[in-house]
Parts: sequence; C-alpha cells; structure tokens
Amino acid sequence: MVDFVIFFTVGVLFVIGAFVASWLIAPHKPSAAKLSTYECGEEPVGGSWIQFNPRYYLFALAFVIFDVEILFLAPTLLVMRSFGFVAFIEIFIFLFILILGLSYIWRKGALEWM
Amino acid sequence: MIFLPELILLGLALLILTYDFVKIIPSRRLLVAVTLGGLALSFLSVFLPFLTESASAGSFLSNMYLVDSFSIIFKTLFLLVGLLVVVLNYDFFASAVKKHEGEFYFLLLTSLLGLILMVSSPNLLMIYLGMETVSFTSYLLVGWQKSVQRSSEASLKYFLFGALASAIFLYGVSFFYGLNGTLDLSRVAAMNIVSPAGFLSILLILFGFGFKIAMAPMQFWCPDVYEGAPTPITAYLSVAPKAAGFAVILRLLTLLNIDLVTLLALLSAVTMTIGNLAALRQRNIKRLLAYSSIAQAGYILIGLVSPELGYSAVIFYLIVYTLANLGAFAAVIYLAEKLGSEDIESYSGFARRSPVMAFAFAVFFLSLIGIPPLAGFIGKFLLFKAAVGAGFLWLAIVGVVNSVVSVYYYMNVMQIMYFRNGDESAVKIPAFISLAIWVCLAGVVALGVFPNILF
Repeated sequence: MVDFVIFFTVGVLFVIGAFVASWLIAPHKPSAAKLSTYECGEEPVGGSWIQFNPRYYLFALAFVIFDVEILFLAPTLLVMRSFGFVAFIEIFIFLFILILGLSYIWRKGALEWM
Repeated sequence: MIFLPELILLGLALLILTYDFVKIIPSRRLLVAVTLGGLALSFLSVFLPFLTESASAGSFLSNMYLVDSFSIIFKTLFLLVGLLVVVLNYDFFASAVKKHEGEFYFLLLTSLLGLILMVSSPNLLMIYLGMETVSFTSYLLVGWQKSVQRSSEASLKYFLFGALASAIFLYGVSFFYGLNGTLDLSRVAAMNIVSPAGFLSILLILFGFGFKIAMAPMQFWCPDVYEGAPTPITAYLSVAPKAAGFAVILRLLTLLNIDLVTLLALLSAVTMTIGNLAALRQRNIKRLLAYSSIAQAGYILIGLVSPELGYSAVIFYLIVYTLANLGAFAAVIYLAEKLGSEDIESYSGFARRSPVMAFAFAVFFLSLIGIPPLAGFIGKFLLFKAAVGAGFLWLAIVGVVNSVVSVYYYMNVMQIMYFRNGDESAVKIPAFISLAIWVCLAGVVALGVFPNILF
C-alpha cells in the first residue's frame, strides 16, 4: 500500500513538475507561424471529417490475416526438425483454413474495387 | 477422441463455409439439415467418454485446455442452445430467400466453438481468445440483416461497447500477469486481492466479463442490441454468452480461491434492481426481455456469494433460465412474424387466436418470475437459500422484493394476451417453432417437478 501511494504521488508530481518547469524556463516568443496547424510539415487539405471508403478495411483485414500466417509459419519452421511430421500436417491444416478464407472473400467479390 | 465435440463443430463450420462458397444461393433445407445433424453429432460426442469409461478428464496442451465435468456441463448447454437457435432460425428467415445464408450458420457455429473454448480453459489468454471469437461473431450476427438500419446500428453499438469491455479485461489481465508472473489461474498460489493492484486487476477482469453477462454497470448495450438484432440471435445472445461469462467467473473464483462476496453481493443487488425498474416501462417485447435478462443476471449473481451452496445453484439456474428465455423468444419470433409487430399492445387477445402459444408464453414468464411448480421457482429458491446460508439475508430480501416487482411487467404481457379483445381468427404455429417451444416447455416443467435429475 505504501509503495503504491509513493509511486502514485511521485508519478503525478513528475508530470505536473515537467509542465511547470517548462512554463517557467522556456522563452516566450509567440508568433503567427507558431499558431498555424501542420501535420508532418504539410498544410492539411480539406476537413478531417471526410468520409472514406470502408473497402480500405477489407484490404487491411485480408493483409492482417497473412501477416499472422507468417507469424505462425516462422516458429513452425524452426521446430520442424524436433516435432517432425506432426508439425508439418498441423501447419497445413492451418494454411488450408486460411486459404479457404481467402478464396471465400475472393469469390464473394470483396477483393474487387468498386 | 477427447476433442471430438470441438473438432466436429470446427469441421461443420468449415463445411458450411465451403458450401456457401460453392453455391451463391444455398438451399435452406440442406443448410439447416446439415447444421442440425452436425450439431446433434457434436452434442452426442460430448457424452462419448461416459460410455467408454476411458480416462478422458484432465488437462491438455500444457494446461491450456481442460476437459472436466464443469466444462462438459457447459458444452452440453451451449450445443443445446445452438440446436434450438438453428431450429428457431429456420422459421424466422422463412419469408424471404436470403443470399449468403450460409454465413449465418458459419458464424453461429464459430461462435459456439468460441463459447466452448472459453469455458474449457484455466488460462486467461485462452479465455480471452475464446471470448473474442464469441464477440466478433456476435457483432456480425447482430448486424446480419444488412438492409435493416436498426440491425446495423445495434451491431455498431455492440462492437464499440464490446471493444471497450475487451480493453478493460485485457488491462486487468496485464495487472494479473504483473502480480503473479503467470496467466494460468490454476498455477497461482495465493493472490493478494487486498493490495490495490490485485484488487484493481480482479475488478477489471470481472467487469470485462460483466459485459458478457450484462451485469451493472456494463449493461447499457443490452436493450439496443437486443432490439436491433434478428430475434433468434437475440435469443442466442441472451443465454449463451451469459452462461459462458458466469462459467468463467465461477472458474476464476474457484481456482483463485479469492473472497469477493461483498462486492458480488452489491453488484447483484444493483444489477437486478436496475433491470427490473427499467423493465417496468417497456412497450417493446424485445426491450422488455432485454431488461428482464439483466434482472435475471442479477439473481444469478446472488449464487456467487456462497461457494458451498451457491455455485451449484448458479449452474442450475443458468440451465433453467436458458430454457425459459429461449422458449419466450421462440414465442416472440412467432408473434412478430404473425402480427408484424414487437409491440406488447399488439398482442391483444392473442390467447383466443392460439391458446397453446399463449399458454406456453405464460409458462415461460411464470418460470422467469419463479412460481412453483416451475423450474424457475426451484432455481430461485436455491439461490436465495445460498444467500441466507452465507449470511446475506439482506441480499435474499432484495432478491425477493425484486421478484415481486418483476411480477408486474411479466403479468402485464399475459393480461394483454388473455383479457383484451383483438382479432379472433385462429392461427397455425409452424412446426419448427412449436418443436422448440415444446422442448423448452418440457424442460421447464420437468426441472420444476423433478429438480433432482440435474444433481
């Protein structure tokens, strides 16, 4: 309990302290350029509430599936020697399910840009 | 052989997906027949270990997966719910031929698999995976009627609340790992929940599951989602994930051996009071049943205060509640199809059009109230007895007062059906709906008269 209180107090004070210190020490030279908005040095074009095509998500999802596939394939390769044929069969079942999923979304037309 | 029910379920799901993939407009009859057959096979294979008497109970995959009597009870329950929901679904979508209907069964089966994974593991990581499998399929099932705006809205709301609940749960799990150095509940020697971090960890994990069981303060999603979802899915959501949530909380409490009774008693009292008071003013039957299911979750939480008597009462009440609620939703599906409305007022005089249906509806509601000789009475009796036995007399009194409050809104529906005048032409009940209703009716009455068959 005591540890917790100490950590909590120090944590809160540290954040407040940093702000107070920079406010005291930092030079104050306001100018118009400092108030202008920028994103990575670029002037934003249009509003930030524009609607964009939800199809991006479908592609992102399909991409994540295969990202995860690699994640599982790499360790399976490493232990293939010690696990033997079982690991080989199991990873193929896994791949089969993934490929079924890919062909499903393909067949349902989710990969076509409309 | 040990994983046979799960493997059959997975194989069936992939089979349905492949069929849907090959044929764009699938044959409904074939889909339903294959799904029902596969589910029945999976259901029977749960009992296979009892026939062969092989030592099949135990832990597998480095203690990631348990096969014990606890998980077997819940597997049986989920597969039964799955069978009934598929049966109900057949008549619900009968009016229109749907494209992509295979997806519906695929998602439902995957969701059932997730539920089974959730209750069969002592490891928080595996529990989380199971929970997410259930959640994501549920979000999609809720929004399955893509052209219905209310359905999409419900799906989005469910997703946003669900994502929040998952995040809360994972935050709790991260504290848990930091404190104990393991995610395996059965390997934690003694958890110190008096320390702030320990208490926070358990509280966050509990609230993560509180979302699934619609426990206050995580019950906000319930009415909107229940109203917007296709009714068979509402029926499914109101029983299956709730039972799984309770199963995981039971596992957490028994494996960690922690003392949370005061907190659980408070949550229970708040949950049932919120549910019952809000249900009083509902005009839509699905919203009414949503608040009623919140209140029922409150009653079930009572059992968690007493490890000796309460835990078995919780399991008993979950089974009883599942049957009564599925039966009530079967009646709602039928009435909505017939009357084109989910408004309680539109049920005026329905008892004269279909006495059997009105009677079944009345029996399910009476069981939810807890009137003898129905199963709901035995269930509530066991729960209140457990509370009194554990020294929580006030909780039992709150429970009884709440049950009395609930009489008003349940009885109001029956009063409208029986004592108002309306259209009097006789109607016919579709075979599948009446099958589901008879199964639930038999269960509710049998468990009320002979509760010993479960113990």
